[in-house]
Amino acid sequence: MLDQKGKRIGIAMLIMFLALAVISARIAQAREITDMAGRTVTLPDPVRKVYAPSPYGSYIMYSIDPSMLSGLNFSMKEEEKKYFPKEVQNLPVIGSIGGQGQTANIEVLLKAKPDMLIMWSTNGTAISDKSEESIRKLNIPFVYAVAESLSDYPQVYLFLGKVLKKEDRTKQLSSYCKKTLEEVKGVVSKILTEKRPSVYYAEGMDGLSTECNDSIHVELLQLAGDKDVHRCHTSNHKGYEKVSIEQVILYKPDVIIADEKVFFDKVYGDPVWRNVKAVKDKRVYLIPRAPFNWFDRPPTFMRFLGLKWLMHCLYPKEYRIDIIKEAQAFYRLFLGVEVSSGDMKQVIYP
Amino acid sequence: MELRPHIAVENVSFGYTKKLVLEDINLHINAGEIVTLLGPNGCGKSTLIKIVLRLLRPAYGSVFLNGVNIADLSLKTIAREMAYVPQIHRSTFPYSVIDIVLMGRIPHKTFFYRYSDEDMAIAQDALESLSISHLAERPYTELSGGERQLTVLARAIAQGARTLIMDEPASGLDYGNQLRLLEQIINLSRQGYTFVKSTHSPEHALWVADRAIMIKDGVIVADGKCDDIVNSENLFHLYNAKVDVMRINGSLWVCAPQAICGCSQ
Amino acid sequence: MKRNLLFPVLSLILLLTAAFSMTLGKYPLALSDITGFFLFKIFGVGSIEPERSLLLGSLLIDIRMPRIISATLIGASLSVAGTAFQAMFVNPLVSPSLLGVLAGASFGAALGMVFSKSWIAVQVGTFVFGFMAVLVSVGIAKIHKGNTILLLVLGGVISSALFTSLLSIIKYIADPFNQLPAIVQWLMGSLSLVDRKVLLAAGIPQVVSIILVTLFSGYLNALSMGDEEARALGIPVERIRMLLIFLATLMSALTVVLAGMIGWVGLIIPHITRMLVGPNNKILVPASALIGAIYLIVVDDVSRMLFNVEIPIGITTSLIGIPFFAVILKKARRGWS
Repeated sequence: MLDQKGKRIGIAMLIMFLALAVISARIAQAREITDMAGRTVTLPDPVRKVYAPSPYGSYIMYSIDPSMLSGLNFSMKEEEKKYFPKEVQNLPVIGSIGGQGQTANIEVLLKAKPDMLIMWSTNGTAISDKSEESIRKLNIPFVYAVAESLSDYPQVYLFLGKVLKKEDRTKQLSSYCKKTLEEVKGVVSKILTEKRPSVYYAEGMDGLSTECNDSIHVELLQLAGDKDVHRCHTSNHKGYEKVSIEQVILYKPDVIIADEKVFFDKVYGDPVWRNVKAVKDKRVYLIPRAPFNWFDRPPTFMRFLGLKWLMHCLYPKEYRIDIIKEAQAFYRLFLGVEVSSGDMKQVIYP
Repeated sequence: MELRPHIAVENVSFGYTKKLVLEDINLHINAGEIVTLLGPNGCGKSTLIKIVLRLLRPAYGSVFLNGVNIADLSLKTIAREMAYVPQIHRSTFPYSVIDIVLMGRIPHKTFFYRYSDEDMAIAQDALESLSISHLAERPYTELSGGERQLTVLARAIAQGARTLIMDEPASGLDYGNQLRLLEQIINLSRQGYTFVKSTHSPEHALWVADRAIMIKDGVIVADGKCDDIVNSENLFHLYNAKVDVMRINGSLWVCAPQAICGCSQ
Repeated sequence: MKRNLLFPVLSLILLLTAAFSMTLGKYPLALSDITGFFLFKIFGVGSIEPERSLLLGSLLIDIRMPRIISATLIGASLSVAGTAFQAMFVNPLVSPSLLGVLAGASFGAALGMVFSKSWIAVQVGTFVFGFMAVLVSVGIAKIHKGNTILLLVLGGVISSALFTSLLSIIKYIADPFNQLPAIVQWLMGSLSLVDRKVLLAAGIPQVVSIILVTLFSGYLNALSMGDEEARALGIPVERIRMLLIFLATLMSALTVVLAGMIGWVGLIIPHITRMLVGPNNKILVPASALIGAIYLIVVDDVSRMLFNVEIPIGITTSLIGIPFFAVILKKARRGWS
């Protein structure tokens, strides 16, 4: 039996052990991960709220779990709102850092206290040293998601799933993306190049801006047969190359993919565009854009659905799908919303 | 022949800001007269000239042209009666002399006009009368000061106005050109033109003008025949300079500043 | 240059340039195709199969001709506006943008592109704000109880700065993926957006304005001698100046409606023309209209033919015009002292 003194020592040691246990447990609440740029980052555990300084990061979060965002890069447009729950619609607008859109107010960002920042990069480095500087000063841990093309998205989903402890969810998204890409590749590879329809991508209200075939803006065209009629080397990442209508007539595109409704509405009635093959053959398709553009501008996860839609437009025989049902399934999986077939029809054929 | 004065200035006061530059000016100009405005810098001579031409509007008072208030006349009507001969200045664009003289025909044309042969003839006559026909095609910007002054004078003549209002026409001219200009004024006066000119030279006033109007600090201090009022006393009052005014050989007026020629009186 | 021959020669050059430009285009057409088409359409000579006729008709009449006509209108309008401003403001270094019309018009265009979905809104916005910017300039001058040249210039500086800042705000809030590139491209100018309806709606006021300014060109001579001398010659200076500003603003705002911002033409062409025909505005105004038209047709030909991509015409006018101007600057100085 311990005497009085021994008892006190025992209790003190017990308390010390408990304290150590609690302290070590606290320390264990941080964890280390390696991000996609190869950096080792210490993150809090769990990560409850995140913020993406670049819109691309926010977009991918919309598909994983938008309620984890502490704020948006720009205010949500009316047409986008109905696809997101109320809490997400009303998230504060914090802005962006390092480029696209309005500059973030750093104090507002700090007030929002995100646990982690998601940085987006196409090649593992920041857009500029300056923006990485300003991110570092925030003293919030940040990870890099690296995606150069759509084929990198499955990896990005798995990585973010690990970081955000949403592995089950992102596994589903990742395999959907992977499957789509493989499926499309399979179909396209079986079609001879000459049999693939050539495509003119009409941007702008006059339809006379387009992209060179190797531009990231037309990645979907590259995946769906690589028959963009405008063959050239893209000069800058902004794109929007101006062409003349004569050139478009000369290109004789089989199909036109149109970005602007203003252009789409008048193209069939326009006496000048009537000379373009695709218009003659009535093969002009308007890109659906709810909540985000399915094709590009901005480039988001919606492009996986956009790719299916594009394949459906270009190869109706070889790629038979019920585009309405596919779209409904996509919205259900990625956005967690049920869209009636009537509404979906409105989205695809406005 | 009308007995009323050709130009009448009645109770005119004017200020660019609240401070008046001209106060209660009353004067008459009769047809055929050569009237000189004398006064130190800043006395208001130029301002008065601009008011008479309706280039500025007086705060009080009116100017009457042949009995009609010029405020009731169009600028064109005024331009047909009175021509402005400004001080020579640098022109930005090198119009030819004949182009500039032809501008004098504007008061006689509608806004849509072409210069008729008659206009051309009038312009050429104006140049001829000042013996500068040889300058017709020369660019205005390449002329000497004296030639430029004669050009704007020719323009005023081409305007067909019988009253020429000149703002310090001799400044900027060399001595010889000054004299030649005075000769032209005398010449034209004999043909019936009325002149109102401001000058810094009392001698010029005495040589050429019938009447002088002396202005100091915005008010008229003397108004009368040149021979009478251009004297030492008035010149001292105007310019604060002691000047002897005398006739040489009984006919030619000379002004001799005491300080410089050391003459005593 | 003999005065009698000047206008017939310039008009002939204009017609030849226009005709030659009809043969230029990315879609290869042989001269025989073109002449054959016109012979058929106008005189019924020869025959062309209907499909080919439609194509030729589209290319020649719907695509190339509107471009050439709008190049003519824009070139002439900007040159005439520039000539008028240079005379009115007694300064050979001013351009039609002096009172802010181009800054206001580009703001209006950007506003329309960001806040509306229709092209008509963009065109209306361009026109309205072009005028509004000039009204601001004139208003600023009038508030300071002046119609003097200096006050107008100051008003123009303030107004241009105001609308340029407003334009920056619009660019800032524009959607960076879609709207911003569209705005930036529009601001660099392009003749590809012209269609026949707009051409008619804009062209008629422009032609009328050019004719009116030509009629008033005699007054411009007097105005360029200074306000006082002009008034002493019987010209109601304030009214004429306001009228000329109105006409120049109308012409210039419509050029932005047709084709975005095209600079330098209004500054350089009056100089070049003055070098050739002298400063008498009665000749200078119509001559610079013709030379401006020829110049812009040629510049547009270069813009659309040089590379695979269309170079924005606002860029080509500067790239061609500025070095050319620098070279002839010595000679052009004869145009002013």
